[in-house]
Amino acid sequence: MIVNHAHSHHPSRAVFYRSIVDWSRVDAMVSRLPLDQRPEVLELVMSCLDHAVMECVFHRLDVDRHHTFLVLCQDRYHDEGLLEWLKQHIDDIESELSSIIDRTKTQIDQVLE
Amino acid sequence: MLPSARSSGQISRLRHLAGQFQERFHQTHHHASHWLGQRSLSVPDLRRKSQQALMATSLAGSMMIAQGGSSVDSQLAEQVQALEADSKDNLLGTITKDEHQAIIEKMIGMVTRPAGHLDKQDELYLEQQLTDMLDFPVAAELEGQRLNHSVGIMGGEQHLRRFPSDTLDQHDAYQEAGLAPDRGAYGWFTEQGELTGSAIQREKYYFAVQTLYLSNWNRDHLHLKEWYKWRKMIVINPHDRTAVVGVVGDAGPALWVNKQFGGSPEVIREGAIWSKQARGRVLLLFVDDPQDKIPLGVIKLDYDQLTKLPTGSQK
Repeated sequence: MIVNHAHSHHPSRAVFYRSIVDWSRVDAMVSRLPLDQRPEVLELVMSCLDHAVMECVFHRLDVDRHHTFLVLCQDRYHDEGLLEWLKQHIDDIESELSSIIDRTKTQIDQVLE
Repeated sequence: MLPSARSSGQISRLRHLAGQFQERFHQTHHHASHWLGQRSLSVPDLRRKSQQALMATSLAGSMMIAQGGSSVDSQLAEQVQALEADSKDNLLGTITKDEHQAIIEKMIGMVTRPAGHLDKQDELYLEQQLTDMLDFPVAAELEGQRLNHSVGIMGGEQHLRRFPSDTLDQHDAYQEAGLAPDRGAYGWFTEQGELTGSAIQREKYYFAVQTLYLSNWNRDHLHLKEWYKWRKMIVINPHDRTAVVGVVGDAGPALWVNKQFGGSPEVIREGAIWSKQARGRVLLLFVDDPQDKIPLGVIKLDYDQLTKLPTGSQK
């Protein structure tokens, strides 16, 4: 697990999975682009990560809990307690999300090359 | 390459990648996608909403949330408890597994009847049950428009050309179905010349319907053509407990074919329309979706999948 507290309190990183993201790598990606384009790039990067994480969660989470998870996300997508809740219901979800996030970042790296 | 040209290429590729992630999520998690769509939300909106809420809270509150403070943990636990209780209540308030099975069996009985319409009582029953089951309104007649059949046989169609230079190898699936030589009856799928994500989806999930045999077609064809173009419909294959939401994208089939509807390669294959037991027999109904919230694609009608996202707890 990669925890990077120095970067984790920025509002754009207020996501329940923030403790498993290496934010310095995200910063490195975004900083490749000119200053005026960075907000859009950061939003696109976060959109890729959000979709990848959510796809994995819905794939692994028991369908009985999908509705609960959606409502929780609607209210507290920022809340790391949500990751704790997922850990209670899905074996090894933290390491699986971690590798999915890494894979996604590699894909993003490739398109930004 | 100039730096600005390079960065615009990078952003364009990144947009494309983000679109692929988004499309894959909506394709693979239809129910979650539908739930979000009903609330006019996307996955990134969940994050943006959270960010706004965080910024609106006091610094002390934010710190507590960011650090996973105990009061937040207890709030989360309380919310989970309430949601799970609510979910159980909703399941008790909706149809049981036996009732769901009875509805499926009734629909199997309906599709084995001759092509045409159900009697009024059965039609009302079907519309009500499907609307409850799917969580969006479906109807055999919408805004005074009704096809000649809501029960019938659906044949397989070829891919349609989405723009003048479209070729079969540009369609990402089921190329064995071929490409129709002419464009569809409703024209190119592109929007202002651009092949957008929704244009791609419309061609993937299109229906051909027999508008040309409507009794008022000759008189009202200008209005009817406009009304039916990309009109959202749903095909129900009760034998395989599968439905597909699509749009009207072509006219046909011809009467002599002895089929009442046509379906795109995606509709036919993903909806298992020509499975051993279904053999093309389906129900085709309108989806009342004026705000275009219901995504196109496959819906599994199995009880376990349909009852997981009850509508009663919509915020």
